[in-house]
Formats: sequence, structure tokens, C-alpha cells
Amino acid sequence: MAKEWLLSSGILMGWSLGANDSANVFGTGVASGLVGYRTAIFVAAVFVLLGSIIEGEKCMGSLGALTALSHSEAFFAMLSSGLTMTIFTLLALPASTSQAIVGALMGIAVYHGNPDFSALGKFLTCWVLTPIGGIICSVALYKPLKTLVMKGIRSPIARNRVFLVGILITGSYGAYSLGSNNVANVTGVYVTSGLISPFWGLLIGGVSIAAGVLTYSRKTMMTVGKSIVPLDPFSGLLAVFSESLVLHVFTQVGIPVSSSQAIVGGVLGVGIARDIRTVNFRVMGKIFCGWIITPVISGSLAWIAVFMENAFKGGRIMEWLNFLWYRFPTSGVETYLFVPPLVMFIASSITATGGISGAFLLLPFQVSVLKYTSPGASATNFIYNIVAIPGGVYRYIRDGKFSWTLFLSLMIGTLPGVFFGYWMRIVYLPDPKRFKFFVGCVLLYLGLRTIWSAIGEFRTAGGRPKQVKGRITKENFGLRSAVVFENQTYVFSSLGVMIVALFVGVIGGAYGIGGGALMAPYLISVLELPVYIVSGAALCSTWVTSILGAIIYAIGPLSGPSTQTSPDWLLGALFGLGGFLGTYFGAWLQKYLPSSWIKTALGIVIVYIAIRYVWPMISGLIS
Amino acid sequence: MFKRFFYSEKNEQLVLKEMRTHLELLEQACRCFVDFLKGGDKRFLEEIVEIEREGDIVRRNILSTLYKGAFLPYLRPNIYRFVEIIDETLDLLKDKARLCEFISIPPILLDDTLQIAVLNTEMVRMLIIAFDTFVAGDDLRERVLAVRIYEKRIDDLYHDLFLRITKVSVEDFWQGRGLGDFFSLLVKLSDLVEDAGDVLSLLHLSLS
Amino acid sequence: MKVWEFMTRKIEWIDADSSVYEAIERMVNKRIRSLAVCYSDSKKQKGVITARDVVFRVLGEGKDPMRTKIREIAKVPMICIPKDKDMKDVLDIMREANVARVFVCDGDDIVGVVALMDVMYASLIERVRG
Repeated sequence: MAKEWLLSSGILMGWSLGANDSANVFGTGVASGLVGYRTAIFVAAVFVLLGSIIEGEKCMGSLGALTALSHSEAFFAMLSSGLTMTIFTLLALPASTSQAIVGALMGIAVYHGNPDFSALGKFLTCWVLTPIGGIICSVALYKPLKTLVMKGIRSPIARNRVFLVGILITGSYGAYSLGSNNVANVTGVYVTSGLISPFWGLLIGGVSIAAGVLTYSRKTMMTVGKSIVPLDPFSGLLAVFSESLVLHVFTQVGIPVSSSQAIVGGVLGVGIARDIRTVNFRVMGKIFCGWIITPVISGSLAWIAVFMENAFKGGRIMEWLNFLWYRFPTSGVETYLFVPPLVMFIASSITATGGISGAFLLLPFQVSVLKYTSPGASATNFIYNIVAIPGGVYRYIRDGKFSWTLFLSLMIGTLPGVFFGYWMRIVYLPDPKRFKFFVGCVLLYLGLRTIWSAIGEFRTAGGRPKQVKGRITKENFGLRSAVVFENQTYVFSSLGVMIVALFVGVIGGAYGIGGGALMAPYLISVLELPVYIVSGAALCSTWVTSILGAIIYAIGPLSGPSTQTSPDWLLGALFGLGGFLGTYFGAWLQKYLPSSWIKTALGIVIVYIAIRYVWPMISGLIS
Repeated sequence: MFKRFFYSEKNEQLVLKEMRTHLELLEQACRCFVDFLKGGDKRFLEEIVEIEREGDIVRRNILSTLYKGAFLPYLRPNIYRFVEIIDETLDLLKDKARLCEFISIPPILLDDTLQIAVLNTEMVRMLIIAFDTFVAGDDLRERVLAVRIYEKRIDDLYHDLFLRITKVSVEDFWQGRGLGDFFSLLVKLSDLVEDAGDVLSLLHLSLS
Repeated sequence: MKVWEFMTRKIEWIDADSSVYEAIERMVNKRIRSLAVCYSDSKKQKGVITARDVVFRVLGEGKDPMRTKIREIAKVPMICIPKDKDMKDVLDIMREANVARVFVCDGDDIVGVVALMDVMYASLIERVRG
């Protein structure tokens, strides 16, 4: 396999560096309205790229001097520094990429047992000198430049022009210095490890930083720009200029340093020159902590990553885990005991965020990964449902959003359907090829529907369903059933529900799902029942159907040892455990992830699987 | 994208030129008022109304040029404010002129009124000088102080006038009310011009 | 700048035969430091009484202000400058006569007064006018 994917962690790092640090060069200008945002990002992107290509190589070597790296170690170094940066960003601490990377490299060096701490001294000195350099520059330049501007340029028009052009020039210079100094952070380790040539390193690094600037820098520009006190245009200009100068000087020295700390120094220096307090001591303390904590954390992460990698490669971990290797007696599936719950935990936390049941993906996993294709796989799917669903059902009943009339109608229709499904599965679909085609069709429908609903959410720009308060107060069961929810009566034809449920039950019975997810669209869009009434009943009917389905598969008239229809209780339960936890985790995750994007991605994955399942049959028919 | 950085000077020059015109109109209106007080010729009052209209045009011109992107965004609010203050002053003069069309100033107050009007004119003259200093980029502290001295003098005069105004007998309510309005407008003018001077020094400071 | 441009027109007159107490009352009420004195027996004669005179020559010497007449302490003659003289000339007169207030006359009539502060203001405005 090509090793280019190892660059991904570095590119991501470059992107985030661009998104965060461009604020240090144009933040003051944009936040104070001197430069338009679009102008700023365009200029910054161009000059970052120029800086990295023209002078970026000067810093590349110094990182290499810390330790020798293999290709994958380079990847892990970037990954752990990226992770450290994310942690620090979440904690709102001003971390520096340079420090994180040096930490990661030292971590790897420690793993190899040959850390060169003497080289580290040079880095540490430069880090400490960065804010100090910023201060010195600002203090030294404040008076002379101020006098020059104030004496030399008198008319308001000319001064206006000076500030306008000045912020553009210092910003461009700052972006240039940023590119030249920090591109080594992005791709330096790859160049050192020999994965890519220096030229490609500079180009890829520069482009990824520029991409970050162009796509995601608005927020930081506003917040950083406003927080670093744009007292007046002249002071802001000088602070940025000092920062750029310091970065450029350290580019010549060959050490990547932190632009955030340089600008803090610049602002502080302006404050000293004007005898005002611009930066408080907490900021200073945070910077100081950054010098120590950032490298330590990212070093530890890198050490762990490399250790794990070697452990896997050497097979040592596999040996340790051998006692977990298990052959499931019923299904004959062989795997580690922790794999089924883990897989379903991940799968169902994602599917729950997108609003569908993990059971849909469980079957393809059994069929394609575990090579479990006999009817027992469908039955095992039922077991998964039995274990994974009860938590959800309980919640709906507790909140009074469980409609037993709807549930009853669904059950009456579904139960015979499941039996037909069972019969169909064993008589018509025991052959994996045909069964896959069937599964593919169901998945295709599901995938397209998921994408469709994602598109709907994009359009309405809403997405997340509102949490509705209220309980079901009164219900009547009959040919036309009625449900009263918060003084509003919803009427539906029980017979219609039963007939549709019968068809869905056939599909569900063969597939190994309760059919709730397939029923819901019909209930919501055709019968116009509200989502919060439908969900509870559908989920509960899925659960009860699953129990009966599992029993039918286990002791049904067509079951026997030769057909292998009986569910694998243990395997299903393990899947279910993962699903149960994953559903809860997914519900929590939903608060932080936009469901529209998740649905789109999920829909595309499902459609992809569906096409892979359907295609062999179709291509067979064609030829 | 970069247009602003290369040819924006024209707009800025236009703004400054129009601001100066605005101020000149104000001075002209003040002079008209003095002339009216001296001779009682009501044609001067009509002229003030004319000037006010012209001032409106100038003001709109300035605002639209600013909107097109003259000057740095953070300077614009103060320029807007300056222009608005001058416009308000012109408005005030117009109101005063309209009032004068139907009230008659009591003879015993006429002398002081005239003096206040003259000082107002002088004050506007000072403001113009201060504005020119601003355009030249020189320190305008002294100029703004001169504006303030006039304001103080006018205030003193007004205080004195105010004590005597109670002794004036009026024919009816509307005469009295018109007279009261007239005198409060008379003194408010100098307040506004003083504010304009302060905004001007603020503008000067924000460019340094 | 001519004197009449920047003089104060408001002048407080007091009769020479009034008591010093009346003068004090007037000064306190109007918040001023000097009064012009007119003499009922002579149209031409005019004088000045300042807070300084009141303090040193009446209160300081233990005299009763109620019984002391202004005539006794007023400075005569009044120091005047013609109204079309330059502001700078005011300064010379002040220096010579060692006073802080100079009256402005138009022929025989007194039309205003120029105080030390007015001179300061005027010179500043002069500077600004350039």
C-alpha cells in the first residue's frame, strides 16, 4: 500500500495551524476593520505559501537532528502532536505546534533509548526567547517608528493611507515569516524520515497551512484579534511587525517557534513602551506552562503510539490476546471475544446519531467479515435487538410516549409477517448470493432514504428534532384507532397499519430486524402521525418481534441441525451489549455532531455496501 | 479586493473638501443671522433656510462617499458624528430663523443677543481654523481651546441674559414661548459647535 | 485684536454715597471682584472699588462697612482705554497702573471692561487666527 496516507496527520496539522495562527498576523487588522476578511485570508494564504517555499527549508533540518524516524513513526509523531493541540485547544490553552512536535519527537527518541537532550537545549532557548524577542522588538521600535510616522506624515489622508498599507504589508510579512518558520512543523518529520522530498514537503506543508487559512480562520481572527488589544492602529501594526521579525529571525536560526507567543511578546512590548498593561500575568503563566506541559504530553502520546505500533507489528499484543480468541460453537465464527461488542459499540453510536438501528449494519458485518451467512445470522441479528433495545423502550414508556394501540396494530401485522420471512429465508434465501442480493436491496432503500432525509435537514437548516414534552392521555383501539396526545387527537386506520406491517414483517423476518425502522416512514409521512408517538411503538414492536423471531428461528418447523437456523445466543448477546452502550453514547454524541452530516456520510456508506451486495447478481443477470 | 489600497485617496479628499464646505455654510448662516439682528431685514432669514438645504445636500454627499469606503472603518464613526453635529447646528439656525419670523426680540435684550450671535460666528470661524489645522495634520489643541473660550463667554453672557429675561413682559403665551425657545436655541448652538471641536480633536487623536 | 471685540459689556455701577456693605453685597451676589463707582455730584467723575480695597482698607482696619462710604475708599480716577485701541495696549496700562481690570470708554461713556483673563483669551485667539 502506498504510504502517502501517512501524510494525512501532517496535513491535518497544517490545516489547523493555518486556521489558528493566521489570526496572529491578520487578526488585529481584520478585527479592527482595517482589512476585509477576504482580502486578509487571500493575502495570508499567498504569503504563507511563498514563505514556506522560499525559506521553509531552513527549519526542516533542526527537527531531523532530534531523532531518526521511520515513516510510520513520522505519522505517529504528527498524530500525537495533533492530538495534543486538540486537547489544548479544548482547554483554551495557547499551545504551540512547534513545542508539541518537538515533544513528540523526543518521546519517540526516548522509546528508542537514544534521546539527545543537548539538541533540546537549543529549542528551549529559542522558545523562551520568542516572547522576549517580541517584547524587545516592540519596545525598541516603538519610539523611533512613532516619531517617524508622527513627524513625517501629518495629513490625515496620508496617515490613513499609511495604516491601511502598513497593516497589509506587515500582515504579508507576518504570513511569509509564519510560512517560512512553521512549515517545518507540518512536513518536517516526513522529509526527515525520507517519505517525501524536501520540495514536496515544503509545497504540501505550505498548501495545507494556506488551506487552513482560507477555510477556517474567521472565528479565530475575530476572537484573537479582539483579545490582543488593538489599542490603536499603530500599536497593532507594530505588534504584528515585531512578531514577524522574531519569526523570521528564528527561521534564519533554523528553529520553528510559536507565532502566538511571539505576538503576545509584541503586544506586551507595545504596552511597556506606552506604559500601559496589555497582557495579564495569567497569559504569561499559561505560556510558561506551555513550554513544559505541551512537549511532555505530546511526547508521552508519541511514546505510547510507537510502543503500540511495535507491539502490534511484533505480534506481541496478539500473543497476549490469544486467550480471548474464541470459537463460537453455534455459528462456528472465530474471533476475539471483544470484537463483537466493540464493533457494534462504534457502529451503533454512529447509526444512533443518524437515527437508524445498528441492526442494519450488523448483518453485513456478519455476512462479509465474519463469513456467517447461514439463516442463523438473521436469527443472531434478532438476539442483538433483544439485548440492545430495552433501554430505549423503557425511556419511551417512562415518558408516556408509548402508544399501545399503535403497538398492537403493528404487532398483529408483523408477527405473521415474521413467520413468512422465516420461511422465505430458509426456503428461498439460504444461498449466500441470493441472500446478499436481498440484503443489498433493503440496504439500498435504507441508504437512499437516509441521504434523502439528510438533504431535507440541509434544506430546512434545522436537523435536530425538538424534544417534545407531554404524554399520551387516552387511546381507543378499533378499526380506526385514536391516540390523544396533549389534547390533540390523532386517528389512524389500524387495518392499514396491519397490512403494511405484514409486508414489513416479511422483510424483517428474513433480514433479522424488527421492521420498526422500515415502518416509521410510512407511519409518519403517509398516516401523518407525529414522530414522538411513532418512535416508541415502532421500537417496542421491533423488540417484541425480535424475541419471537429468535424463538421461531430456534424451534420453528423448518429448523434443524442441517440448515443451521438457530441463533448464536452468545454472539448475538455480545453484539447487543456493544449496541446497547453505543446507542446511549450516540444519543450523547448527537448533541455535538450535526446529524445532517452524519446522515449523509452514513447514507453514502450504506448505499456503497448495498451496491456491492446487489451488483454480483445484476452483473450475473446481464452476462 | 485591493482597490481600496490603491486608489482611495480621491474619496478621502472629497470627504475633507465637503466637510470644509459644510463648515463654511454654517459660518455663512451665522453671518446672515447677525446681519438680520443688525438691520431686521427678513430676507436674511430666508437665506438661512436656503443655506440649511444646501447643507443637507453636502451632508448626504459626505455620507455616501464615506459609505463607498473613504477612510479606515474605525475612523468613520467620528467623521459621521462630526458631520451630524454640524448638520444639527445648521438645523438649529434654521429653526431660530423660522422663530424670528414671528417673534420680536425685546429691545433691552437685543444688544446681548447680537453679541452672542457675533460670538457664535466667531466661534464657527475658530472651528474652521481648527479643521484646517486638522487637515494639515498639526496639533489642534490650541484651536479647540479657543473654541471653548468662546463657548464660555457665550455661556456667561447667556447667564446674565437669562436673569434679565424674566423681567420682560410678553403679550401672549405664544410670544413668550417663542422667545424662550429662541434663547435656548441661541445658547445651544455654541454647545454644539464646542462638541464638534471635541470630536475633531478625537479624530486627530485616533490618527496618531 | 481691538479692545471692543473682546471686552465684557456688563458693568455694575454703584453710587459713591452708598455704604461699603452694599458694595460687598453686590459683589457676592454677582460674583464679581470690582464695581464702577459713579458720583451723583459730578457727572464726569468716575471711580472703581475692588474687593482688594474692601478687604484691606475697611475690613482689615476694623472699620464698620455699614458706616463707611464708598467715596472714602474708591480709586479715582477710573483707568480707561479707548475702545478702538489694541488688546496689547491694555497690557501696558495694567502693568503701569498695577491693576487687573481696565475699563473701556467711548468718548466720555464707559462701554465695557477688560479683565486680565480676557487679555489671556484674546491673545490665544489671536494666535489661532494667525
